[in-house]
Amino acid sequence: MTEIKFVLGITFLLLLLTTFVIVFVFFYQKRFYFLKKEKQELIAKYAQLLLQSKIEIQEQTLQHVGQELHDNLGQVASLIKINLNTLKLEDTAGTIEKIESTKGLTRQLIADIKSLSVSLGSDRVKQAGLVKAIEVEVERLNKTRQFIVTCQVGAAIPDIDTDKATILFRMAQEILNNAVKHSKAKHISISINNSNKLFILAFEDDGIGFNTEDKRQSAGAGLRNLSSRANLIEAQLRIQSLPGNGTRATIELLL
Amino acid sequence: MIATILGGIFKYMDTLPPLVLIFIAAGKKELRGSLIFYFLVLQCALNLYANLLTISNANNLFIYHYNCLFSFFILSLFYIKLFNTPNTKWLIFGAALLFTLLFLIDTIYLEPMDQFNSNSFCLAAFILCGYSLYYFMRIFKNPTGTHISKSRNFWFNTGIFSYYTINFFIFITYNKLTLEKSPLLIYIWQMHNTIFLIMCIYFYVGIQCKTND
Repeated sequence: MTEIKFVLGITFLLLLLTTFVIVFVFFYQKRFYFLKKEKQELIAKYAQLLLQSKIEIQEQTLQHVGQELHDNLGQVASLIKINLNTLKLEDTAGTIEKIESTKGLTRQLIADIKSLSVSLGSDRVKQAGLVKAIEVEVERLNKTRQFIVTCQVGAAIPDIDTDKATILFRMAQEILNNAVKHSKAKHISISINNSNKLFILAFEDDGIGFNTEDKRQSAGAGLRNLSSRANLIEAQLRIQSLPGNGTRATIELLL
Repeated sequence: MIATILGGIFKYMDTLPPLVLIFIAAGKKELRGSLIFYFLVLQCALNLYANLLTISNANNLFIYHYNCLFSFFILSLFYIKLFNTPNTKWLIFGAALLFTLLFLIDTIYLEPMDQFNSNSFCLAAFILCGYSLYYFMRIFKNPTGTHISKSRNFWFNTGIFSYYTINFFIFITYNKLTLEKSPLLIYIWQMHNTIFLIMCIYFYVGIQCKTND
């Protein structure tokens, strides 16, 4: 009888042991499967966001090019045409002056076309780097003469992975666009620095500012997009603003 | 009366569940010729014959010698196919040869055909537990892309692991208990049959799965 009880007892213990082993294996593999699925989803989301950023950069570039062609290049070409149409060969002094002026305008036109062709390059960030791409944006904004935009670049800015640089550039464009459209600012300053492998991109304007809490709770997609892009590249985004006190936006990325 | 009914149920718990599984598996084209199917057919046939001999008060212990040997061979082939590498193939083949030799020595010199072959069953259980644990270890090292609950082989392996591990102590002691003609021996075999049913439940879950791994 004791022997029977002993056998049954041991068998019951073995039953518990095997159940534990099976449950452990099952849940381990289940967890691995979900982590793998989550990782694949993150990779897909990252790729989608990267593609979206590239498309948005291209759209913005085309918009800028169209505006430049109309406002700037078209104007200069018209002036060249007027100059040539109003040439009077009998008035030598006047003709020479107009030809010189036309030469100057033509040089300006060629320079502007060259500059535009650079911005039409399919991957500006990849070719020129993040800092240069931001400097081109600054130049573009300054040309409108509606803002004074300054860009201060610190020493020893390291190269950033192209994909992260593309997303950072898109975030920079978004922040600048928001400043242009909503802030009514006169001065926008950008600073690019690197400190102990921490890349810092900061924007500051002297505009009307806004209530960041209200913006976060409202349905606006702008801040949400910025946040989700920052999360995707594991960057820290801080936006500080108060009505009447301008806006300061900082992006920090650990390299 | 309840005890009688339960006794009757337990008595055929090593015959009816595999019979049901055979019919279910036979309905699936990919399982009809599989090794687990043959294992179930073997178990059902031999256990049924053993039960018939019990009813006619004849010694049925010799059936378990055949059960042990042929089950071991079928499950060894199952694991050769499951692991599918040259090294494991030769290892399992070698283990099968060694087992056969030890089985013959046990049957001829230690536990003849009219006794329960505890030694052979323990050895078979030990080796098969080793194979099933190795399969679990492979899952840890190289987790599959498919969710494990949808893998047929996982459930078959779990059934084999459960049956041979939990019954290990029953197998070790059963020969001695039968020789002592313990009146409570029936409870031990009912425990065995319950564990056999657990194995069949795992096999059923595996049969319902659509993927092998």
